[in-house]
Amino acid sequence: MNQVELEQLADQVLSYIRKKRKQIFAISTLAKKLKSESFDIYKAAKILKSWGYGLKLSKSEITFRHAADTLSATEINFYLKTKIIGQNLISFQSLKSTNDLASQMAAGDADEGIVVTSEKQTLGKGRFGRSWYSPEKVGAYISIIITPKIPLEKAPGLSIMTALAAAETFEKYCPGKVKIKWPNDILIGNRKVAGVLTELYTKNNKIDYVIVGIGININQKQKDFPQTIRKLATSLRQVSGKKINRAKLTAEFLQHFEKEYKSYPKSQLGGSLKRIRAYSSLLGQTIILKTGDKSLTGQAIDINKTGALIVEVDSEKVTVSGGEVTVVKRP
Amino acid sequence: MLPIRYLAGDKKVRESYIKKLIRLVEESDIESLEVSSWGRRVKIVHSNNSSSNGFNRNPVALEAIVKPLPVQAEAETPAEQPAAAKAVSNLKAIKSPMVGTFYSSPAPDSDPYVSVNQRINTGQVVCIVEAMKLMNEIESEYGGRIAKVLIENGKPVEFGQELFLVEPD
Repeated sequence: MNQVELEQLADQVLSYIRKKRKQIFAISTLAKKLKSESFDIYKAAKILKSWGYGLKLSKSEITFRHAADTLSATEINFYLKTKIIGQNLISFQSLKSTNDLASQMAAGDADEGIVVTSEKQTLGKGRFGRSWYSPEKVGAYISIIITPKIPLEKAPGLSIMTALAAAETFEKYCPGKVKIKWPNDILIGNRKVAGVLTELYTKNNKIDYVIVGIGININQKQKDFPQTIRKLATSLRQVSGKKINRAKLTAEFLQHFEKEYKSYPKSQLGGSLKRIRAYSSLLGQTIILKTGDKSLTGQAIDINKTGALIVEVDSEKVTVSGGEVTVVKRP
Repeated sequence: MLPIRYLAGDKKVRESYIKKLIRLVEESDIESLEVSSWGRRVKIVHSNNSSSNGFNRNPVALEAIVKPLPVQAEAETPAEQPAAAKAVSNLKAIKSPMVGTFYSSPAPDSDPYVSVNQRINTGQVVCIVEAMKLMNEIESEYGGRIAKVLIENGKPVEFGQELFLVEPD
């Protein structure tokens, strides 16, 4: 067998032993089941070890101990319970930007629900050419291709919908601490733990496809963050005190996303407003909103079903759909 | 050479084979690769051939920006003169498809997508309208020349508001 064939065999061996932790498998039995030779099974097991899987391996037996700490398609898929989102899943070791790759894949012929993930990003994108710090092995960088059958003007709420799906995912690990900073950041203890970047591509003024991207800080320690963002960023591990399985978290996020997305075309954010309000870090606060060179101060009082922020300025209600928000610190 | 057969019948496209396909794309001159099997499809695009900021995904548009088009401009100069008289009534507007904020460039410190007198192609990205952090690239429905930019960077726009006037070819 050549290397490619051996790696393929390693995948097959993995799918066989993956679900049965601590069970001892005889290599000869696996060889029979997989119509292969024992020494090839042994070599395949070595490959699995090199991928980071914890195996107890002897000349005659394999025992699965633990999964690799990887964001591979195989691992995410192991935990995935969705129907559409992520059922086509492509994972990379390194990409410039998952959003860019997803967009290139979708251009011309977009399939709903394709998910692109990467272990790291060399040019992780924030808004307007800002970057998203995307180191290896500690985060998750995920882009979802969707083709919603909705009018263009209903699309902007998708950012908040995604932020909600992320908040619901994180809630399990850090109960009671997760906040959404309207419209696209997820905060814990006022520090950024994840950011959403949604990009819309149109054809003849109709939605062609939408790329929903999210970067999540999962297992970083405080010192892992560069000095410039150390006081602004946090990770789920830092808050929960536990190392988190990134593939599992990714699968859970995709499931939350699918659930929110299912009802979106019909009711937009209508069915989730209660939860969005509960997670919101802005409601009730005095905020400064900057749009271009214009700035406005008022109190954030609500979020409506389109996702717009309602701000009360001099007892007048203003509906806000863009701009940079800062909370005014109370003296 | 290609491990395509390993993709066939596999419910999920496996990471290791994707990696190999990518290596193959990287090491060769091919721009992109699409593998299709049982309705599963993988397309791998060479990163050197894609832009880094992702906003210029349309290769046609990208070319149009990169090329100064001196030859075309020369050829068109005589034709433009007689056309100018009737051009005034000929102008077409590029409108905003949604409420949001107008941005003329992909990043604050980069050049605007288009400026006055610039030639554009149909489908070329001319600006971004952002609403609730959803970035919407606006493409021109017309090929021609930007006659007027009607709005400043960072200003709010309404649904259907005119953003540019284009003198179509």
